[in-house]
Amino acid sequence: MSSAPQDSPSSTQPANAGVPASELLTLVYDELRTLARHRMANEGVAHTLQATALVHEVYLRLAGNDGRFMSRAHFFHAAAEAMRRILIEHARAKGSKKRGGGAKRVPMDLLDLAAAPASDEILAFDEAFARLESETPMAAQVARLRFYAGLSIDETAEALGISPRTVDREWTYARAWLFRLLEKEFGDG
Amino acid sequence: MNARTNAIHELFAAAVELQPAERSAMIERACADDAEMRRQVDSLFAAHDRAGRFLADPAFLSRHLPGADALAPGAVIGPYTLRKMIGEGGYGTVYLAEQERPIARRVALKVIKAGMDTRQVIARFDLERQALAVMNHPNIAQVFDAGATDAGRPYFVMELIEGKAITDYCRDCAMDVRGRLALFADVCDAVQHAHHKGVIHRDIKPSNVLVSVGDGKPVVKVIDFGIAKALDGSAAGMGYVTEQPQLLGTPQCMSPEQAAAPPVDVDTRTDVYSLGVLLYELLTDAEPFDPARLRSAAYAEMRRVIREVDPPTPSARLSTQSGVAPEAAGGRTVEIRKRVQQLRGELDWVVMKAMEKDRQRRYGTVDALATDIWRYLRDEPVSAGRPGRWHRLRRFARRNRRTFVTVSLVSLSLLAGLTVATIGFVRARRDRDGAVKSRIEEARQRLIAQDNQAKAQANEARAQASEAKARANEAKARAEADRLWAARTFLYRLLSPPFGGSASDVAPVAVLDYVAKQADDGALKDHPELEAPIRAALGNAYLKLKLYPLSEHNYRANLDLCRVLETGDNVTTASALNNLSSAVQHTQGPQAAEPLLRQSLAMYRRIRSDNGVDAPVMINLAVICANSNRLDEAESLLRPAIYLLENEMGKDYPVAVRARKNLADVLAAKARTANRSIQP
Repeated sequence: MSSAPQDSPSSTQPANAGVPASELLTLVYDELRTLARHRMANEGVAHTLQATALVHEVYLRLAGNDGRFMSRAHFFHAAAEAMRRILIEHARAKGSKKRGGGAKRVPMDLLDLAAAPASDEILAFDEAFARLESETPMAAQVARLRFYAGLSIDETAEALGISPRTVDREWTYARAWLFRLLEKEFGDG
Repeated sequence: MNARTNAIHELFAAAVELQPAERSAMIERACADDAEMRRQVDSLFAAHDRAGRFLADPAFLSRHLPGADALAPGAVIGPYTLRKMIGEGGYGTVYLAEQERPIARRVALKVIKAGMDTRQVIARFDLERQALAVMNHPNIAQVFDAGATDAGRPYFVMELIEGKAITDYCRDCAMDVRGRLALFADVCDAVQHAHHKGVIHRDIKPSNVLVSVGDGKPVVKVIDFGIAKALDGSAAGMGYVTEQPQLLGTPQCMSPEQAAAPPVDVDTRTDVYSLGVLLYELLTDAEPFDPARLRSAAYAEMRRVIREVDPPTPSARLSTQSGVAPEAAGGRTVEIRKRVQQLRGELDWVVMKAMEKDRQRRYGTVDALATDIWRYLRDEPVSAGRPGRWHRLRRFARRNRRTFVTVSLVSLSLLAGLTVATIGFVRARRDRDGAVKSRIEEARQRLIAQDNQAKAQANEARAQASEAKARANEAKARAEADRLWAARTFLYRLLSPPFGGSASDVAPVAVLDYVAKQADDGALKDHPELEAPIRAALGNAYLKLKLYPLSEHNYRANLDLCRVLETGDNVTTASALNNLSSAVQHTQGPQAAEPLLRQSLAMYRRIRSDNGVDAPVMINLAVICANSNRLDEAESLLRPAIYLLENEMGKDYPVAVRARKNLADVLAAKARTANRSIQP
């Protein structure tokens, strides 16, 4: 279902990585997951925790403790992938996966993101991202950093070494493309 | 990535920065001679216009993070204050919570994870509420309440049980097999109680069967009654679909009908299956299906395994374990070998019968399963037989058909005497007694339940007094049941001729006629469990006296009652059909008797009673076949019947001897037919 890349795609990965990508990913993944669980358990839903704030907090913790991180860009690639895996695992664990012939239809208003989403939504997202990746890797790359790591336009530009304007365009394209795909899949049509 | 995708991507990226008018012009130009590209670009822009804040809301991901479902200690849900999280399961998170009003108590509060239609869950729970309230059993954890949290998620409030999963408990204290069986019998008792109240658990598994130790004695508590049902539909099997069983329950205990697609109606036998799996795990400390295989399998494959793959018998599973772990200390290996010996045979059969893929072949009720457990504990033979024996017998009979030499010709008039008085009857009688007993038990349970319901409405201060009353009522009901039992056995013996007896052993015909008339006049119409054995006894007696129409009348009444007392396939009804056929044989001839025998035999087959109870039916049917010159069929019925009888009762058993003679006659007749066709 998912292309599940083992590491961040090398084509856009900065060359000055201080730790091997796989090791960094594991590190970020563990840190992120621990932090998320801890925060959620202690603060509960009352303090809605921002996934993006989490990513930044993990960055500060790791960067503070470990001088091996050469670049924010390197970190955020790993963070986006780590976040993706955490979400996927959690969504699978929740288990409301599409089943057999009676594939569950998610009403369109769920894509409105206001209502509580079903956990298989996140799985559908991942599949859609994988398809986008195979068609237009740059747009997918931008979308992953924006979506999973919560980077701003400028941060994404910095991480990828491209102009903010390009990021904006790719982001707009990715959103339209993904929306069209998911709308078809989950919409009433 | 192909060229067109590329072109669409570039065109979109360039056009999106332009004003609408310029944008249209640009698209127009670029797609002048490519309609497909035009369509694609247009649909992308349409999506762009509709996308709104799609992917742009940072709260979106947060809702999907692990732990997002957790509630903080101190949170208040309805009248309950959460104190701490005590567990996480497939459905949701369990908290220890405190309630202050109307009673101060500690409870377990289970909040169901997001993703379900809360209103439906609560509506379904409300349907079950009455039934759940009526359940009152020392081994069932009560479910008090259900509702919705502020966030709109359903929750359930249950009796707080501090204990561990039954499998963990038994393993941790290295409990012996008999101890485990005794605990398991308590579990059965609890589930049977729920079934009497119309509640099917649907999710029996080790983590739902807890053992707590109070006063140094382990007490079983089955939790989560009514919850799987309430979660059905929007979350049918929710706990099972995971690919990460370390987080959620595994599909080990899911019954084949629950794994069916499309879903099949589940009934009480789904609990029988899950109890079988639980017993399997208790006896072997291992799961029946390779957990790695279920975990790695895709959902469809997992379903296939549950529906089609027969797990190894418990003893086989245990012996492979001992082979796999030779490093386990010497003493442990010896212990495992001992356990394998203990499981082989009867306990294997009991587990495999409970875990039959086809629910028709399982124990029909949890009671029947529990009865076998008790039989085992009392060193009596269990009702479950070696699986697949009937099929092996058929193969055996087919293989050996040609090895018999036929020599003489004898007439085939051996029908009489082969009918009723056989072990089949004796055994069926015993089974029927069991069925009646469970009816009585059920009635008794109903009485207690009614009393308990009244008790629940009484105020708290009187709780103890009414509990004492309930106990007294229970004792009274049990005494009543015992009395009824003794009376019905006495009457049966009084009226029915003894096995192998002659006409002179039968009660005076005037007595029979009097009893029959009383029954015909409806003296027992409110007591089918009494009337049934009396009708059977009258049928036996009249048959022995060759008063066939009277025999038929009473056998027929007996059959009707058997069907009322226990619906579906059961030994009692199968045996009643056989009885009736022996009278009908005389009143209406073999053509009328044959369908009854076939019905009876089919029923025995379906309930897989291959321990010889059905041998008389097979012999009766064989004689009818032989007399109408269907010699092959007669032979194929006689061989397994003889095998069964000799196995169960020994070679000298009169019915077996006579059946052998019948077989000789059949073979002789076949030989004669063959000779005739060779030398015209």
